[in-house]
Amino acid sequence: MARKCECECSKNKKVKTLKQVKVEEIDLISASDEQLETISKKRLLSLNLGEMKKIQKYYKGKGKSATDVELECIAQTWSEHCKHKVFNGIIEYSENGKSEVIDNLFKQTIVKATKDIRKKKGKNDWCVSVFSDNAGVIKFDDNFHFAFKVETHNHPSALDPYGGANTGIGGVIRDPMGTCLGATPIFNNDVFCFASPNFPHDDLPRGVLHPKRIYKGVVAGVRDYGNRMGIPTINGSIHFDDRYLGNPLVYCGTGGLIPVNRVKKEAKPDDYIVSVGGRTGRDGIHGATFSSIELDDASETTSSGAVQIGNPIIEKKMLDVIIQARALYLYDCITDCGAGGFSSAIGEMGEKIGAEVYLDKAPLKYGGLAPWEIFLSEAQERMVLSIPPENLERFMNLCRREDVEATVIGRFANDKRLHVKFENVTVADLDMKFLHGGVPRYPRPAEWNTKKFDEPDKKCPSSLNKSLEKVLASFNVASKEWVIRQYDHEVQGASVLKPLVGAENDGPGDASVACPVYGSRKGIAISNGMSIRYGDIDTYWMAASAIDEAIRNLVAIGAEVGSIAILDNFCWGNPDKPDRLGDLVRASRACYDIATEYGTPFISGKDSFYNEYAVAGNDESIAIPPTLLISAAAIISDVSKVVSMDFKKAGNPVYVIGKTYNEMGGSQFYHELGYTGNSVPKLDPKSAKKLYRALSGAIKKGFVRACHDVSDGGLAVAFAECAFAGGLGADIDAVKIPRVSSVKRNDDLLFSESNSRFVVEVDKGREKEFESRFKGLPCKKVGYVTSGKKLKITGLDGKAVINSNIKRLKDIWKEPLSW
Amino acid sequence: MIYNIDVLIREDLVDAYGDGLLKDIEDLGIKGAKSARIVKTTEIEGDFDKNKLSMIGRDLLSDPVSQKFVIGSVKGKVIKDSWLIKVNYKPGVTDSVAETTMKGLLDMGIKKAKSVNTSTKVILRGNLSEKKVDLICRKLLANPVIQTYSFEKK
Repeated sequence: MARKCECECSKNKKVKTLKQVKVEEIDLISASDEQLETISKKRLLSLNLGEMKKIQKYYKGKGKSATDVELECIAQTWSEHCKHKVFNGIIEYSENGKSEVIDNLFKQTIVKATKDIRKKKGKNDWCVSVFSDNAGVIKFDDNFHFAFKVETHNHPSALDPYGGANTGIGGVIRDPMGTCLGATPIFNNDVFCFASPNFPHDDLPRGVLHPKRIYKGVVAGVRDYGNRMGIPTINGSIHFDDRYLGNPLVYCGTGGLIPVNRVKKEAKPDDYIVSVGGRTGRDGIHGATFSSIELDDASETTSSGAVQIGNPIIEKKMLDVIIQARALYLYDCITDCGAGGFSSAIGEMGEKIGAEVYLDKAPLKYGGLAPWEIFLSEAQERMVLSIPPENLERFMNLCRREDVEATVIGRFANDKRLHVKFENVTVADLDMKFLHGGVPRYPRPAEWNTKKFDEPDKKCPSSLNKSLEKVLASFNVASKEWVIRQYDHEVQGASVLKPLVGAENDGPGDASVACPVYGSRKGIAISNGMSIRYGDIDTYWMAASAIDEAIRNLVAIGAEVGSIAILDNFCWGNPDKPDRLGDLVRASRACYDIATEYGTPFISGKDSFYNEYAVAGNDESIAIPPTLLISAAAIISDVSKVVSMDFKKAGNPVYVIGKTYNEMGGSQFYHELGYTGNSVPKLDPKSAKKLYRALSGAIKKGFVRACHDVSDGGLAVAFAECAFAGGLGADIDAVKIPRVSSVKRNDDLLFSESNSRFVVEVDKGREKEFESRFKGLPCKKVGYVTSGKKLKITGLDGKAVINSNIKRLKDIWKEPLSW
Repeated sequence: MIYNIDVLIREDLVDAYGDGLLKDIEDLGIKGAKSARIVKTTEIEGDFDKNKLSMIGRDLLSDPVSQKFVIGSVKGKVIKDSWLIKVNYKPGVTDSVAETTMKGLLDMGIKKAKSVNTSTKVILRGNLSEKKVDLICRKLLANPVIQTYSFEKK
């Protein structure tokens, strides 16, 4: 059928011309280098000269001029956003003077980690689909697989916080929906990075929105979309650093369940290409290429095209139709319209077979769109399905009944070409092989050198009450209840362990647990880890700590290390600058080393580069700190066994598990003093793994009443949080805390942020059974939970170093971000 | 004809968005704002009689428990001695609430609506100069990427 149409067109003399259908022809064959660069710049293609020349060569071979549809389609397919040219490219790396060439950093670290882990797991490998689909997929139970994806929507959120975050969460919900034959979303999570909400208004660069406004807009955007879709938001975190001023980071994630017999998807020749859901408008044109451009003060007006507006009602109805059609086996393949719109979705689905698209059939929000705009538009709430001819009528009837718009916009073919038409005129005709495999690779220089920071030169004060209060009140540590309470974490009725826990439901939980299948006790726990400040010292230990924190959070509620899968989301500055890229190499290498040692495979991820902001009149642009978010998920065999972090009963013994080192570098404590320091927390995953195994075993046996991971603010903050979340006091003797001998000061001991540590409350009378599981491991009883409302910590010198009312500590912790 | 329906929180109830705005104004370092009330405006193009418009205001656009609606624009005592600020979407920006309102009209059996637009008004009271109000608009109410604003003293 596709062929027949083509013949008719070529024979018919009365067909319209390209001009009549508003398509521009661009002569690349005779263009000079300078002209090629101008074309790329003028059209916001974000292609460099080498790439433009590769395209020119293709057209020379074909002996024709390019159309705007073709050029835009190539530009977005080759964009950093879609092809990850930096991560997959060639890197000329030098570390402290030692040079080497890295061919494909991504394959050598992240992908290799997963490959090695899967090989080691052998028959017990529970990965189903990794790195290939819209989300990573692992086994859940006999009936379902679990899909998880985390995305970023940074640039749009900088320009319009509400709309940007709104469409960020809307977009990531469609990722599991477009994975395999469609997963049903069961939860969202989100992580944000902002500049300080107290940033002085007068110092704000032109064109930058105030961090507090961004904060509020982003929270409202995620809230309104997630809540209206009826998907609970069960986990997240918020981090602060003033380098996020021009580039706030907005990470959104969604997890979903797929029936095990709906995994395989493949578009077949002759299947109809059907667009479902929202209509196409000018929204978000150039989103994929735009995300590879540095922002400046003109961005606020020149890029209004990149702003997308979300509509959760349409997405919810579309989801309902897809779930029904999935049950009826009505389609062969599905994917979401994300960056690059139809061009990307259809291009990817038909990569191996070819496709013919009738652009004039696409339903539009308003008239006047040029064909390339229709093809590239990133209007929200659209998905593309591949429907066999015999099922088309049933599918269309289903959509009509559910009041969801569905339109045939083309057919898959078997000629390995992407053939796009508008009113029967060919507006683009590209070889799939060139489109997907043609992008050239470039070497980029990268450099990393050991950095040296000033160390504070201060005596330890005799009382650390004030220090503890200061750290508790820092934005990074302070309660995020104001945000969490705006999100619905109860809808769908499956959340077992919630983001806020404790006697008054306001303690900071380490991980959340959902129990998504009614009648089954099997659950999914999720958490996240991020260690921004360590990256200033060394991104290797930053990445290692982020992975450890995410895993630690899950172990703290009772998950087993062997059941944990992780996701990587890199947000970085401009990778064309060698220092930024050097940081990336270090971080990626840690990802490989740590993940393989823990046996936690990466199942999906995403990267966002060029997060830099050029301030007018300033040569040097401001880059965000290297930021790696690790999201982690674990399958829990019995949700009734998980524990929360709040102290439960006076008289129970308190243990500290894991050794404390002199690792104050990058700590919240040093940050409050205005220092970075050098002794960044390191990690020994081999011994940590033993510790984690022992701990999850003890939790499963029911010996543990409460368990809290030790991270920002160290042990002092962890003790305080456990106490005030449970409404109980604690008596702690610091001398007993497991530590290396070089830890001699109370402030080092209580505020060091060494990895792999926990505060644990054990059921009184079961200490022996508990301790027997930790033979040869750092695990010590350090005190007791008390009925008094005081947190008392006796220092190394035998004198009280912290003695504070828990109500007071809690108020101090809750106040800063409760707006 | 284009008809206008304004919806606002009943006077005896807390306007949470308005109170939030007052707090944000204070954070901006601007003193003097006393009260802020938010009005959601819907413009519907089509041929309707007063009964139909009342029905739309009552059954579709407002929550009868906490809100009231006005056919036409809010006027009189409600806006007396205030700065009346209007925030509109720029042309071409998708207006999701308008799209859903259109759908809602169809569900109610009203097929005559040709188009729907939404915007927001803020009734702001206090001792505030024109310059300060302009700053509030720019910093808190309208995003120049997608919105325009205007205001006048009532």
